Formats: sequence, structure tokens, C-alpha cells
Amino acid sequence: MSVEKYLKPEVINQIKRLDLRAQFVVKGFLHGLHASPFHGFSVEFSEHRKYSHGDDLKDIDWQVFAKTDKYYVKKFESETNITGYIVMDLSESMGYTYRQEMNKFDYAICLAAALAYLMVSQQDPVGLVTFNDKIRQSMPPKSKRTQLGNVLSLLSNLKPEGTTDFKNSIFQLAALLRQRSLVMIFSDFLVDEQETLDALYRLRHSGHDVILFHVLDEAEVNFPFSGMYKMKDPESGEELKIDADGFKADYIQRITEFRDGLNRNCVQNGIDYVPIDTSMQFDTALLEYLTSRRARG
Amino acid sequence: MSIAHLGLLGIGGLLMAIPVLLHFLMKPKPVHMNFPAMRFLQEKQFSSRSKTRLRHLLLLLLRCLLILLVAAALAGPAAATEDFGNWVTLGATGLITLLVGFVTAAAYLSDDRNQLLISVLSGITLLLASFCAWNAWQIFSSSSSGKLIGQSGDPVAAIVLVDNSATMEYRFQNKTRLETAKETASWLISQFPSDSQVCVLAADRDTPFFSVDTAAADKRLSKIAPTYNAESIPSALARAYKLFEEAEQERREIYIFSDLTSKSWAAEESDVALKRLAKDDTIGLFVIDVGVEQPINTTLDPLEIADAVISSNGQLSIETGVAQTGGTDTSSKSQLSVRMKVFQQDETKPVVRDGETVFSDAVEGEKSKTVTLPPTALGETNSVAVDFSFSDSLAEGIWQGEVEVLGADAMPIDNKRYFTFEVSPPNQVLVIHGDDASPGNLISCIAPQELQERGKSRFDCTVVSQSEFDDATKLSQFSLVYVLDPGPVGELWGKLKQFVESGGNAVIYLGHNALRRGAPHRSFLTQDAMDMLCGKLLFPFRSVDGDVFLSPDKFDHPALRTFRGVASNVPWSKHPVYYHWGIEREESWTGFPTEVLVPFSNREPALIERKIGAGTVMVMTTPISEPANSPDREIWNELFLGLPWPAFSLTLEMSKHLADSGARSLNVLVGENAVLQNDLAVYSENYRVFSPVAEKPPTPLTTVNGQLNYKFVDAPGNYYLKPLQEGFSGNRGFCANIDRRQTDLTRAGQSELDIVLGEGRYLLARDKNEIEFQQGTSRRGQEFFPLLMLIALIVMAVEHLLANRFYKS
Repeated sequence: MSVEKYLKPEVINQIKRLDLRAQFVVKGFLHGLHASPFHGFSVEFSEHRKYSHGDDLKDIDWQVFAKTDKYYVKKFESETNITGYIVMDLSESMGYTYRQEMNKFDYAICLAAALAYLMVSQQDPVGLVTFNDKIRQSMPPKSKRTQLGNVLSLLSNLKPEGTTDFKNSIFQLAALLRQRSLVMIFSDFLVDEQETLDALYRLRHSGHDVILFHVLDEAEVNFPFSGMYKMKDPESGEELKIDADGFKADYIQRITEFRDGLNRNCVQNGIDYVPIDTSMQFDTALLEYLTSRRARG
Repeated sequence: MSIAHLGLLGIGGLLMAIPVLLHFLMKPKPVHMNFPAMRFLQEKQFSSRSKTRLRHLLLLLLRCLLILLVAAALAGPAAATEDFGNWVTLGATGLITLLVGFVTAAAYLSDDRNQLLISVLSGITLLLASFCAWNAWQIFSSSSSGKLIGQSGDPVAAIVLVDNSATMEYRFQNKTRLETAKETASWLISQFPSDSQVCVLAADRDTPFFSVDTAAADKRLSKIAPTYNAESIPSALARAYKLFEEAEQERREIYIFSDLTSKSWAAEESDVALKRLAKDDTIGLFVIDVGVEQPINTTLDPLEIADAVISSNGQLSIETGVAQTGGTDTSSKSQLSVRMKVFQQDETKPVVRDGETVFSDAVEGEKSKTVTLPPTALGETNSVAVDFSFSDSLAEGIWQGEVEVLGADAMPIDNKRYFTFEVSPPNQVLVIHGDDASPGNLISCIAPQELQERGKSRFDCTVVSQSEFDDATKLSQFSLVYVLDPGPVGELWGKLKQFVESGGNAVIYLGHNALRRGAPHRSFLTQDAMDMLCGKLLFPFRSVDGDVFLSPDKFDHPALRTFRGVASNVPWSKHPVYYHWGIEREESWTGFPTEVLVPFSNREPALIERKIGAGTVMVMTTPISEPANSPDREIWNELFLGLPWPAFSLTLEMSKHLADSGARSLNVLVGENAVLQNDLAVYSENYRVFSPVAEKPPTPLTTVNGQLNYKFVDAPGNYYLKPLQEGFSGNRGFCANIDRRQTDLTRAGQSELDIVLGEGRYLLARDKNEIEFQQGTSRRGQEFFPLLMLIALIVMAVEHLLANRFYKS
């Protein structure tokens, strides 16, 4: 069986452990590329520094220890080192799934885990921030291998809840970030479009590179409904009775406009925009990340 | 506008409420579902909901329309007038064109347009638009005033025309065609709505009128009997059509019950009434065919009697034929017996006894022959000739007889023919000849020595020369006078004219004796001479080359009938005519009916016949008294040289024709007047006429102007005239036969019906069911069932298309 099958959400969804999911996604992705994407990411020795508590024992340079009898740790520096932040929307709308298989949140976590795996694999420090109406969790970026476990552990324990205040949350995030970072936002952006854009401008203004992973459910994109429905917004609790057949064309037109509008504004402001729905394979998101990463290399 | 099943329309209206109720009451329960992107739904809420409502309403409308259309179609609506029907059709098709056009436009303007769908819809729209345009063109180009159809239950003004011609006596399935027609017509009359005006008419020249009620019409129908001199259906129709002028009802129908034989439907000359009827589409025309497609029949052909007057020792010769049409046994020949009877009523018969005429059954002579006919397949006709001769010492007087094909037949009326002949003493003939004109040729033709000696000669000739003819000669004692090559005459022309006017007959042969210095003698130019000679004599035509001879081209005249069968084989050219008189025809032919019977090959008249008063004169412009040669002059012709049988036959037939002129009325056709010369010196003035129909009482008949004129010859058979005055003995009589055409079973084709009734103007039925069906078609008028069903189909397709489009998953 082809490895690419692991890029399909319905297959990944059968794997319960997030680290394995990330591994499957990345390996499948890499297998599909045929050539290593890491050629330009060679890691070179930078300097030695004294061992301090918390450093990984395997990083200790035993040759230096033999010469000096002191513990020094090798410091490696990638050619283009960048700090990555995975910013995960934690709002209740992210928990929506039409087919009851993999909701938007699961899909986003899978994707985020894969990205974290990739970043950590190439020594990029990666951190994690979750938000709904404000920032809920924040894990500072680290390039250690243990960081991946920490990130995945946190991700696997997240549960979508609450309402979204995207602008406020991103403004908070911008204040937190000290250095120029790659901010990867996973959200459905089902908030006011102008507020979304304002928040993104703020991030860009601080010099951060931003990638938007616009994760929508398959049903939110294709609107496969027919007949009478009473729709309820999970965050606001508002209800609307509709004849889905009559609404379908208008809705699809509007959601397309919404995504196109975001894309347009993102391009204008140097933001990478990745429109995703839960029926898509994970490589689309990963490819987008790598393309962005190479551009910065 | 009429509706056959109004109730169905009401039910349809009620059924139409079903989709409405479903729409309002049976709205589906919505499925509850979380949907995070609801704000986009809310943004488009107004427009989407309006669109949804519009779609719902459109579909609801289409579904209601569909139910209504199906109900309307089943209700059987029909237009009362053709014009109105055309307008309704145009309106409906226009509406449906707009509907399909709207759907086509919507499909074209749609975001996800389907080229195939658009092409199909455009094609349908184009087709419907073309149909609309054609329909509109039909309406505007039609000059129709609007055919009135009326309501199906309205009373009608109906004419029931029953063909009662002889062929309607054809028996099939143990019923004559007339019985079948009357039975069906009686049923039809009982079906007419109350207050209908009904005229029952037969094809016997009866006056058409509306009966007081349907019972009276039925009674009139029951009295219709076969007629053997029927008028044609077109003729009866033309008379009957005029009756509608006094009809009170607006819906008018004509029912024609006929066996559709060609003779009944022979197209009349341009009858104005018939043409109006063909164009008047407010009148429903129904033809009910009661005939048989392939009849089987045996027919006895009309009798050809050689001499209607014979001497007591003479011979009666009859020629006829037996024809057989169709047959069930096509493998073997069929043998038929033909019998001839000759009889004479004695003075005591016929008599009326117990209200019925009793005829004498004494038979003087009877002969039978068996004829063999080859196998005859259905639709084919074979015939065989048969002849009888009868020679006996018959008493002078009127004799009658019949020839009959024995055996059962589907139509016995044409199996028997009748004849009447007269046994009389020889005709007295006076022959006046010019100076050197020999009567030898004439005598040898009409009264040969051998026959005279045996007492069988028809003619007893008295020969006088022109110089011997004087005032003492009484022409009245002769029935026929011959004048051979007369010279200058004194009172002859005046006497001859008087003789002919009073009923005598004369034959004049002109020759060289009339010539003086290259021109006719002045005695030939008097008014009497010109009257008798059929015109002014001009001068002799000369042709010494022998290229002028008698050249008859028509053989209808009794004197020429003998040449009819051998017309092209008569060697007239071997008997050249070198001289003949020319006659200036035009000026003097206006006063008397005159006809050139035989021309010469140079188209100049050779034999002319003229009716003067009660008699006839025949003039031949070249003589029959010429010698073989003459030392003094050139001979005028060679008519009697060599083998002179053509001139011999012509002379004899001319004599018979003139001598039998009084006997020609002895054999008439049914429908003709029987006219008998009645010399009061010999016969009684008053008679009683006994018809061959035993139930018919005898009719008194009186002599008028020397003639007995009987006008009621309405049945075939022998008629007897019994003298009413005492002192006169001997019955007179005549016979009547059905015209052969009246019994011709040849079927008329549709084209013949089209000529009479107009193409597409009539509805043809064969039985009661078909009559009802055709009545329904006609009375319900222009039905909209097919149109409504077509529209319903299109609406259903549009509804299906829209529903699929609106609710496609």
C-alpha cells in the first residue's frame, strides 16, 4: 500500500496517538516528494557552551570533556533559523464536523502536529499558542526534541470551546512575541472579516511572517444540504430555519467570496493563505509551509 | 365551448387543492444542525428566502396547472365554433411557448448553464413558436365564417336520406341493403334529441319536408320501398339541402344511407345547391355505408330484339347475355338455366279479383337454354351471350314475354327481363321511282320475292313511276313511302310533307333526275321541297377518282346499329360514290329537328333524317337505283355493285327503323313514359292499364292527340291495356325493364364521394357504433384533449426540470 494514503484525513483519523499521526503525515508527505526537502537546511556547528541544567545529555561533546574535563555542549545553528509559533483557534466552531469523522479542530491539530514534527526535526524552535476569546495556553518555542512531545501532549489535550475573539487574541499574541517569528494560525476565521484583517496587519507590522491555515469543514465549503434545516451557530447560539436548496447557491457564492477576499488581502500584505477543508489531504498544508520556509531560507 | 364531462372538471378543481394543502400544511420538519458558518446564511437570508419562496410558488403553480390540465383534458372540452377552437389552440400554444421560452431563458442565464439542455429547450421553443405562427397564419388566411358545432345535447335539424335504388335490394346476411338501412336509420331517428326536426327522404324524387315529430319520421321511413328509377344521391341531396332554409335548429345534420354504388353517386353537372352544401361546413354530413364490398351477383343483360314488329309467320329473335360478378367457387365453371316465355293475355284477363290483379298464366311458347360461365373470382365479372328465336303462327296483336335466369341470387331483380312485340300484317310501302330509276335494288332489300312467297315479308310494296303518281293515290294507306331519284315534280313534295306530318314516313333518294343544266330543277327549290329534302339543293358533287364513299362515324341510330360491332370492317370504300347532291344545311335546318346520320368521306351529308310533325323523312343524297353502267350518262355510284351487303343492310335497317317507329314504345325503361300511337279507327279510346305489380289497381288511360301516354312506369314487367269501350277487342300493352345502370353494383370510390360532398366534408360510418363515434366527433367539435395532454406533458417536463434544478443534491 502506498504511503501517500496516510495523507488522507480519514486514514489519519484512525490513528489515535498524535505523535504517530504527525509521523505518518510527515513521512507520507516526504515520500511523496521523492527528493528531500531538507537539502537547503543543513545544520552546522556553531560554538560550544557550558552545559547547563536542562540540556540534552546527548548534546554533550564528549571529546571536549575528555580534553578539558568539563561539560560542553555543541551548539548547532541552522543556516536559516526561524522561530515558529503554532497558533491554534480553540473556539467551539472548530469542533464542527458534518460527516462526524474528523472535525476542523482535529484536522488542524493533525496538521499542526505534523508541522511541529517537521520543525523540530530540523532544529527550528517551535512554540504553541491556543486562543478563543483570548490566549488560553502558551508554550515558548524550543528546538529540543522534547519540545515536540510537549507540543503534541498539549495539542492532544485541547478541546474546542468558547467563543472567538480573534482580534483580541492576536493582539495579545503580537505583544508576546519578542523576536521575528513565523506565525502559523490555524482557524476557521468565522469572525468579522475586518477584525481578522486588522489582527493580521498587526502581526505583519511587528515583522512576523504569517501563514493562515484557513480550516473549514467540507460541508462549510460545499454546502451539501437539501431540504429544510434549522441551523444553529454553536458559538452564538443563534438559529435560522432555511430551505437548504434555496440557500445553497447564495451560500456557496458567499463563502467563495469570503475565502477569495481573505486570500486577496493576505497576498497584498505578504501573508500566506492556505485554504483547507477537512476533505483535503494534509500535504497541501505541509507543502505550503515548506514553500514558505524555503522562501525564507 | 362544450364540455363532455363537466364533473371531471370540478373534480380536477378539487384535486388542485391537494398541492396547495400539501404546500401549506405538510411542510417538512426541519433538521436541527449546528453550522458555524451561519453568518453567511444570515447575510443572504432575504434574497435566498425570496428566491426559495418564488421557487416554491412556481413549482406549486406548475403542479396545480398540471392537475388542472389533466382534469380539463379528461373533461373533454370542445370549441363550439371552428374559429373559436383555432383561437383557443393559438392561445394555448402561445402560452406554452412563453412558458418553455421562459425556462429556456432561465437555463441560458443560469450560472451553471448546460449546453445540451439549452439546445433541447431552444429547439422545443422554436418548434412551438413555429406551430403558433402556422396556427396564426391558418386563422388569418382562412375565409371560414366559423363552423357552428353547438352543444352535443342540442336538438338538430336532420335530413335522413335513404338510397332506395334497385341495388339496395341486394340481399346480404339475409337482409336487403334497404332493410339494413331502414333499421339503422330507425335507430338513428330514435337517438335524436327531443325537439329535433327530422326529414326522411328517399331517392325517388319525393318532396322533402320535416315530419311533425320523430315518430312520424320513423313511419315515413318504414314506408320507403325500392324504386327502379331512382334519382342519384347528389340530386336528392341538392333538393334536400334547400330544406334547411326553413329549419329552426342551428345544428344541422344530413345522414345518407347508401350502398355506395357508382350509379347512385354519379356526379351531377354543376349543381349550385350541391356546391353550397359542400362549402357549408355548419352542416354535419354523415355517410352510412350499408353496401357490400365485393358483391356476388348474376345479371341478365338487356334484351336486344331484332324486330319489335313481325308478321304472323315471322321470326322473333332475341339476343342477350348472362353476366356473373364474383363467386365463392372459383375452381369450377357454373351452369345457369335461362328460360324464355312468350304469352298473350286473353280478352278475359287481366282482371282484378279481391283487390289484386290476376293475370293469365297461359304460355304460348317456352324455351330454355343452359349457359356455362367460367370460374369467377371475387371482384371479377364474366359474361356469356345467349340468344333465343321463336317462330310460330302467331295471331295478330300484342305479344309479351320474359327471359329469366333461373336459380337463387342475391339480387333477383336483374335476373329477369321483359319484352313486348307486335304481330301485324306486312307494312304497306309505296315506291315512287323517277323515269329511269329502277326499284329493283330496293325491292330486293326490303321485300325479296322468296319471303313474299312464304308470307314472311315485313313489307308489301306497291311500285308506281313518278308519272303514274297522281291525286288518286292515297298516301294515307301506306305506312312508308319511298321516292327513288325523282325528276321535276308537281305536287309531290306538298303531299309527302302532309303525309309525313300526319305520322307517315318517307325515304327520298336523290339522283340525276333532279339535275337540269348543272343545277337542281326549280321544283326542288320550293319551300315544301326544301322541307322534305332537309335543305336547299346546291349542285352535284363530283368525284370520279372513287375516293368518296359512305363513311358513317356514329352508330347509335337504330338504322346503323347493325354496323356497330363491325364498324371498322365494313368495306364502304369498295362502293364509291361519283356524284352526290350537295345540300345547303344551315338556313333550313332551324325549323325541324334534323340530323346527319351518315356523311361521305368528304364530310358532306349522305344520309339525313328529319322529324316533321309526327313522321320522319330520311334523305339520301345519292341514289340506290343506279344501273351497273349506262350508255347515256355517268353512273352516280356503285353502292349495289359487287357484294353490296353494306348498302343492302343500310337500306333494310332504314326501312325497319321507319316501319317500327310505332312499335318502339312497346319496350321502355322504368321511369320513361310509354307512348302508344292509338288510331281511334282501329283501337278503343279509353283503356285500363294493369301494372305488373298485382297490388296496384288498374289506372284509366285516355287517348290524347292520337296517343296513349302512360307516365307511371315505375316497376319492371309487362303492362296490359284493356279497352274500356265495347266493340273493341284485343288488349294492347308494353313492357318496362330496369335500366342496366340501375342494377350496376360497382362501388363508388372515395374520390367520387369527395366530388359530391367535398373532400374532408363528410364522415363515413358502417354501423351504429361508428355512427355514434362520428356523431360524437362532429357534435363535440374541435376537441382539445390532445392539445391539453400535450401541454400537460410539457408542464410536467418543466416541473420535473425545475424541481430537479431547484433541489438537485
